[in-house]
Amino acid sequence: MKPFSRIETLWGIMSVGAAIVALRLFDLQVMEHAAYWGAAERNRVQVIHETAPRGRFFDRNGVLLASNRLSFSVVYFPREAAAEKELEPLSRALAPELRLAPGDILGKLREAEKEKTTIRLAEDIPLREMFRLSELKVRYPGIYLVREAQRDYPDGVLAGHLIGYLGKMAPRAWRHLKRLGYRIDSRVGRFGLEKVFEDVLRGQDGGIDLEVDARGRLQRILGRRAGVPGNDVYLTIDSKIEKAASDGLASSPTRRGAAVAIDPRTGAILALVSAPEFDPGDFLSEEVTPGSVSEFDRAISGTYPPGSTFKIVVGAAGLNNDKFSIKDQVLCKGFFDLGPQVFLCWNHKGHGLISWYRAVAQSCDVYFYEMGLRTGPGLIEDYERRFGFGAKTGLSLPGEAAGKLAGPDSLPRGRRRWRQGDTVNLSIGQGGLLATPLQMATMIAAVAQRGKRWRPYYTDHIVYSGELGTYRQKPHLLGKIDLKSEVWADLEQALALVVSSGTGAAAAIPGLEVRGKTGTAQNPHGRDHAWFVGYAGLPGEAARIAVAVLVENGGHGGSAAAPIAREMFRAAFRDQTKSS
Amino acid sequence: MRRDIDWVFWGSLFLLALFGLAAVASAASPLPHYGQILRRQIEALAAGFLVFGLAWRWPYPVYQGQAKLIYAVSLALLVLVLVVGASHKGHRSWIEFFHMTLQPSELARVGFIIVLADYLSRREKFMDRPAAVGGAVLLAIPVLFLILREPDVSSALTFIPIILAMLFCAGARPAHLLGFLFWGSVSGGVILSYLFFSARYPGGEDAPWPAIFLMRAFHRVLPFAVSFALPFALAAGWRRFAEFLGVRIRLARAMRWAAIAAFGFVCAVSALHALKDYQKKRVIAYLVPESHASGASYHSQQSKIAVGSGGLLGKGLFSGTQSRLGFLPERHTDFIYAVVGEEAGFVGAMGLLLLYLLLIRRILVAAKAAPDRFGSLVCCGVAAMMGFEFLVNAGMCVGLNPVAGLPLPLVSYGGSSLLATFWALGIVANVYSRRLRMEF
Repeated sequence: MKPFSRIETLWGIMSVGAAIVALRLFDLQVMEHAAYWGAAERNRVQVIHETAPRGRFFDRNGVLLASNRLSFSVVYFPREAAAEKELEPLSRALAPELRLAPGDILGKLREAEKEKTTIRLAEDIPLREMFRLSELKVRYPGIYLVREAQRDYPDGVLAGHLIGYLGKMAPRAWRHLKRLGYRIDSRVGRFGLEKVFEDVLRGQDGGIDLEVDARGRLQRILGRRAGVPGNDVYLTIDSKIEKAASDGLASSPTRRGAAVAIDPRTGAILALVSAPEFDPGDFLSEEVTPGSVSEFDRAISGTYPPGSTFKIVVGAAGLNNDKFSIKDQVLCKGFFDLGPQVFLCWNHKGHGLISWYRAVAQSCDVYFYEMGLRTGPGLIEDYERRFGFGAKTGLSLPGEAAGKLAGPDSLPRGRRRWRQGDTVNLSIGQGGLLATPLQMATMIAAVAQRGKRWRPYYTDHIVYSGELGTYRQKPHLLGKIDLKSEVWADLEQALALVVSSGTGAAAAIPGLEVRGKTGTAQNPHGRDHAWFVGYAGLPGEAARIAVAVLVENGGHGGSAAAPIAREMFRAAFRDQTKSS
Repeated sequence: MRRDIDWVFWGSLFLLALFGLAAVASAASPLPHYGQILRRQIEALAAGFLVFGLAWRWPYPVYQGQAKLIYAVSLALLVLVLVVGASHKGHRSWIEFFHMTLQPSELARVGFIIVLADYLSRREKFMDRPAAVGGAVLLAIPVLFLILREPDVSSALTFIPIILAMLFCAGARPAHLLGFLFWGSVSGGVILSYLFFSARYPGGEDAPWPAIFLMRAFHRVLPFAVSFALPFALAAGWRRFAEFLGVRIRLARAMRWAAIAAFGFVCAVSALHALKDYQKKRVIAYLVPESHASGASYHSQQSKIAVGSGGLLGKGLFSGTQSRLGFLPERHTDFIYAVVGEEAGFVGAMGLLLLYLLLIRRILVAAKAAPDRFGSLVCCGVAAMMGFEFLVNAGMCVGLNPVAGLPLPLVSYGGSSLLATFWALGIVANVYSRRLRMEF
């Protein structure tokens, strides 16, 4: 053994130890540096967020539907874990100032401590109370006042169902969303377009970065980051028409119903109303919880028997296939005898000897019973599909219903056979056929365009901040209903007669070409639903607006629904005609 | 005079002290008594250089003559601290007089190196016997017992590598050292695995059989101790017993190892009963980090964050957020290396590490050049002390080993540690100055 080999071995052992430490240093400081740097930053930086303005909603003419206003919030940011004892006195001191129960405040404070994140104690504080609260800031460290953008709906209920509302996230949802930068007290779109456009509307929150020490005490303010507002969305909605529909439904007999207006030339939705409406602003305060108001959108989710408005489809089917001609006459005695069953006309006195134009104008049921039988249920069912019944229109809103077809191929569950009586019922839009007001509007819009079916849409354009520019929604042609041009002419003339001298007289506006069809749909839930579908344009021009109005249990379409349609037409042409 | 000085040794020593002063100045700056801390550290450094200078001129063979006295004084100081010592965070490790505090265990460590070097140098011929190892251990037991009474486990642990290194360099048979190491690893392994299993399976359900065996053994010490001590006793007495019987049956070598293992087991179980709760928690936090969200593993985690966030070049002196904002615990004492890592980065931490290696290398050079066995062994002991303290402290700061309350010699804040280290290094300098004049 060499004399110093043991000392050299000792040196070797220590060198190996030093090499292990050196490797570890390299791993921590060079390889994993970014992760540990992030951890150190998270340690020392506490952020008080300032909610950025959310993107606004405009109608097609630039009228504000949803906006933001400046407000003040009281924010608490968590401090050392040992502050648990301080939370209770703090909550008791804050309770009278914020007009909240001490227990609620304590709960929020505890949550903030647990998640080590800032939390809003009270929002939207009026300016005069601000001064009183700014004293609190001095007395209690951890309490901050921040300015932020608060959602504002200037017109209240207007387009409430379409715009939707914001709400707090469910705790479970937040766990998933916090990776996307949402905070525990962030508000997200919970319904309607606020939900559909969440990614577009959401701004990037600004905030104040604070440097804190290990015990959570504020050291200094590192800086203030300005928020980035969300992107503005321009809708195809015309707030004048929307307002007319909203007011009309609100003063209808039952105040329940829906109205849809579409530009038949493009499919752009001009109005989409479901009554009773709600004010999206109500959801911003804590009192209104989702579910306490009618969120059900009758315009897209409600399905109803179309009633006599369906006679348009029956007529198109029969005339286009020469199953009957407009000259064919039927004797209406007020009832229709089908052997085992007798079907009544709505006019029990009978319409007498009647042919196509008068039958549509007066909405004679017996005439259509006869013509429906001549046309045959298979053909009618085929035309249901052509006019878009039984299928979603493709409007990208959650909750759209597809309705229900009726015919020998679409027998309801449990039924074996299609009977003649079913054809009779189907001829006047009864018996199993169900459609949404939106579907009815697209149907009549297609009639106005002589068969061109556009997919309904509500986004006109979105103005992105930065370099993304503007996104403009293009109309999308779904297809064309191919009818002979004389059949279209017969239909148009009949629909014009409905308004000029028939059941839909209440929709008439001097100086405008208004065409339409009323409907009075029997249903198992009570009084008849009142329908009106129609379209209007300046004389000699293509129709600019097609509407479908439904008043639930409103009675006669001519008296309950047609006047609402008239007001919508009038609103649409307010600038063009002085003759109202 | 010039030949008396190892310039590289002095240079690295001076640089380390300077490095340490800068680190303490930065780490302690947000603390309330910053001025006092800094003043004390500068005073301690000045006193340390004085002690170093004295020890450098003081002929080291004098220590060998006074080894018994040094041993007695060390023990007396350790007894004194238990009687009049000031208690701080549950440790009675400091004696206060005038305006100074003295940590006797720091001085006792250097004293013990001298005593052990004296003991081993006088047993040069008998180093191949197990008694050499046993004697060294017996010498350490009173010192360790007193230090463990404070209680200061970390401090006591530093004696083990010192003893091992000095025995090794003195020429003890590797088999004996291996036996000693085997005993140590059995005791350590049993302690660690018991703590691990008790943290992982708190109720004892679903535990694998070794865990159940260990936990039962812990709760019924006596029967287990007896049944394990029996083969040990048998092994120890076998030769005499066999001679008495007049037969020549050699006990299998494996039996001796079994006996050592049994002894280790008994020691471990007794140690487990003696360990304080906070000490168990530290070890558990290292073994099962998820079992403690805060506390000991929090310290380790924050230290890793500090070092890792420093990156290649560091955040700059006086700019470490982890240390300045208090996320790093004990930043100017035990975790000073993490401050260096955060503020001076990989370059700074590696620089400190290389300075240490250089210093230790020069101590070992002195050990090889020493004119006698005693001087050489003292140098080996000092090298082992410096090396072990550095490795354990740095390892703790980068999360390689559990949190142990050891200062980083020459760098951490603390007068006693500085004085003791300077004294030890001064002796090394003196050994070097008396080196054999023929080589180098």
